[in-house]
Amino acid sequence: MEMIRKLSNEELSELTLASDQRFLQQELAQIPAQARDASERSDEFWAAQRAAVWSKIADRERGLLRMPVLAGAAAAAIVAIGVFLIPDKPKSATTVVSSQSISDQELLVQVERVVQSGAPASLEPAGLLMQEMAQYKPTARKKESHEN
Amino acid sequence: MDTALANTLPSAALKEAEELSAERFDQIMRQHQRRVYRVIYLLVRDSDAADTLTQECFLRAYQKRKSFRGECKIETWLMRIAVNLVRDHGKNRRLSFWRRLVQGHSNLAEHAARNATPEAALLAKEELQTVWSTVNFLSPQQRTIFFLRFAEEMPLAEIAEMLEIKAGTVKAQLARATGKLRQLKEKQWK
Repeated sequence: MEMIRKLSNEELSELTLASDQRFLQQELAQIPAQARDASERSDEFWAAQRAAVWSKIADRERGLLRMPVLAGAAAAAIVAIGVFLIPDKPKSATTVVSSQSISDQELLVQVERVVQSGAPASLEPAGLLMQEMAQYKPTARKKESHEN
Repeated sequence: MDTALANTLPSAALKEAEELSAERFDQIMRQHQRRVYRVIYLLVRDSDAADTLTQECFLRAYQKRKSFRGECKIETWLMRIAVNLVRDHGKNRRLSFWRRLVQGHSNLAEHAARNATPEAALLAKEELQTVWSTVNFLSPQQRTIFFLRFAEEMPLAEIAEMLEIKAGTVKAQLARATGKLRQLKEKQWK
């Protein structure tokens, strides 16, 4: 009954392996000694290897200690560059916005005040312009009201 | 020193002390560096590369020592790191394969021929050259398993744990490796 039982892959591997090991017994038996002989090194070699490992460990740890300092310096440099590179556009933009927000009427009033307060001769054309605009202003307002 | 610590500290504290102690790590290195080097050397067949990879193995072990939870033997853990390093190294060193093949197995076969009569030495050398050259034609995983089993005489379960594969896979790969060697030997006899 057992003779016709199918072998599992693992059982098959085990049987093959056991058979091959018996067949290669002589060669396989020599491998451990050869491997040890081939990789045999002097005590100085092993000591130098350990020293090299400790030296690499020290290098890595020094590198790790430097990392936060370097990261801080890099961040500071980026901030400094950012401060120099970002133009003062927002400030000028607010100026423009504020000048636009003053209506024509208010501007006229300001000019009028300057002219009446004894402005220099160079501002006389502005005074004339203001007088002219003041004359036409009511008509323009009437038109606006009609349109509405 | 270790026994005294074990008697006085609770196990968690002892583990932490072991993890952090440079002295303890140096002891581990002294204890395992020969075997780690040997396995790497058998796999890469280049003494300079084996030295560099052994150093890298211990460097990684030191850096990751806190992640070692004692679930396996420290040797198994070190060998796992070593085998992974060899695998990564192999990916970048495909071209030097033929050079190593020519140099490597002849050096290993020399050792077998040292203490024998001239005829027996010649025969042994030829047989072993055949073995080593055949091993070079195995897949990287088969070669690793072959050396761990037959050069390092590790139990199959430990090899499986080290390579993080099933024990059944180890058996199957080993059977394929020995099968190839057997075929070659049979051909020589014919």
